[in-house]
Amino acid sequence: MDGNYGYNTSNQNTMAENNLLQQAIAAVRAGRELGARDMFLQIVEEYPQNELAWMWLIDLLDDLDDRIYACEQVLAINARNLNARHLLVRLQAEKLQQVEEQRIRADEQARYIRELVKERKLESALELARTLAQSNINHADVWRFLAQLSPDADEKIRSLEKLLELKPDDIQVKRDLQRLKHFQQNPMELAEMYEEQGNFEQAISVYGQVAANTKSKRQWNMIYWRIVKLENLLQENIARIPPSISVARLTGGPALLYLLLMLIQTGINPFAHPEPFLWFGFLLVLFGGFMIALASVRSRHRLWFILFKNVGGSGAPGARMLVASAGWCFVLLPHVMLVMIAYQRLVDSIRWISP
Amino acid sequence: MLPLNDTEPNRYSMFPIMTVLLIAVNSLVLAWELTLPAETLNAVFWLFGFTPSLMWSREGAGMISSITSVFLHGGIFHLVSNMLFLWVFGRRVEDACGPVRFLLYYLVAGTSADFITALVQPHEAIPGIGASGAIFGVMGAYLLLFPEGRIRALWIIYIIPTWPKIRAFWFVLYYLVIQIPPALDSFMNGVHYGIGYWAHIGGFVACIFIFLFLKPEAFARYMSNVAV
Repeated sequence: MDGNYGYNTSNQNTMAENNLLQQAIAAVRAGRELGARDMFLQIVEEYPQNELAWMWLIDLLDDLDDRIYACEQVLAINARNLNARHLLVRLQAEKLQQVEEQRIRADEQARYIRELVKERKLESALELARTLAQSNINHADVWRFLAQLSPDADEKIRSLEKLLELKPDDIQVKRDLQRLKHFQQNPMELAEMYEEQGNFEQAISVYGQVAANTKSKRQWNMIYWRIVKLENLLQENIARIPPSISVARLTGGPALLYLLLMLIQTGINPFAHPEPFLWFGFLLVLFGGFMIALASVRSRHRLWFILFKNVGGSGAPGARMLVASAGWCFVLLPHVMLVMIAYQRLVDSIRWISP
Repeated sequence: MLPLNDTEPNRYSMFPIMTVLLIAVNSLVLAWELTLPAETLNAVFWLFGFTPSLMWSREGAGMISSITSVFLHGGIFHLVSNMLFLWVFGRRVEDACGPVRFLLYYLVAGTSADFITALVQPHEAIPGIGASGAIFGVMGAYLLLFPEGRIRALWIIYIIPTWPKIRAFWFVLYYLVIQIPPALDSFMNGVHYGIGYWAHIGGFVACIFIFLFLKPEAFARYMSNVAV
């Protein structure tokens, strides 16, 4: 940059300001660019309306965002500075290209993380996600992976908060964040969630953190045995059975017993001697069995939140006990009615037999 | 050949509370039976034992007799032999199910025994009593869940008692196989043996329902082909 190209060199510039300016320009011409940059930065700090200093800084600054800022400052001082305007357009185009390249790079990296996760190379995936997060790549998938893979609750929460900044309308992210904050206060629930999902390594890690911080010997012992159990499961490579299958399986037991008793009571012919209540009772027992199974199998479902406002999503112990109790009522009531019907028939038989 | 003890430890819990309770209840019921005069005892068996012909004609106690018959026994030997089998095989099955679900399964096996007896011998007018049907269900469940399990058995060879460790698989299979000839004989020729062989087979058949009562961890181990 040579001379003044339509710059607003106001006569109101002070002597000191001009001296500094001259020194800085001389430093640039002498090849001392770093020193010159510092001088120009000093000038704009003391004299923010010095258009010339800002113009020099556009060329001397390294960071693209800083250069764009300097252009904007020049145009704020003198909107007719065509050089600055052209430079700004060029820099903004460069910025867009940089952002696009960053986005493409981030997409590639996110794809790579996805591949690592598929291949169960979770440590590598987590490390890469962390590196990308630290380099300020604002890619939603990177933050999402970090939230999923990180064993640290604080890191998960930070990642979800970042993700929410990028996608403020994502309801799932809001719910996950709310749940994680709940788990931060209740780490045992978090460990139990990992256990239920089959993420035994993460469960062991969280249990370990809780054990390290607990003051209760009883809790420490309980956690110790849980960790031992999980380590044994990991070693033995036990398959993870989805909670829905466990719930469906355990629902059938009480209903089977009721069905057998009902068939025996009706002479294995409930259709020839229709007793609608008994069939209705079968549905009640089935429903009750389902509730008991739901309460006993730790599984995550939105219904726990809707019914009991349990943010963790798996039902607090009190809620589970309530559901189990209600389930037992539904199971036992038809059985009691069946016993009463059978007892009545027994009494009639005795009357019939007695003289 | 009689079972003496299961040689493998429980995995999920320490004390078989429901097995002990069932043995206690059965013993108490027998103790009560022994206090009754013969006529009253007879009436109790007729009312609360399971009679297939009464089931089909929709008379008698119906489903009540299906449950109560499981807790009635004909004598001390009847009780002791059944309870011995329950002690040996019931503890680990209870361990894999939990006490409440084990009780439900026990009742399912007992009811299934009555169900099969009623299907195969619909005209049988003699009431059936005893826990053997339920216990065969427990043995069948043991066979399914712990095929590699070993039990200590009392085996008297001529007059010499021995107590080898036998794979439960062979033990249960032996007891199942010896039910079949008299069961077929009673079915085809109407012979009365005084023992409910079809009840034993019916209870054993119910073992396929054990998967409706297993703890999730036990089920996961079973599906992973790992020892439950």
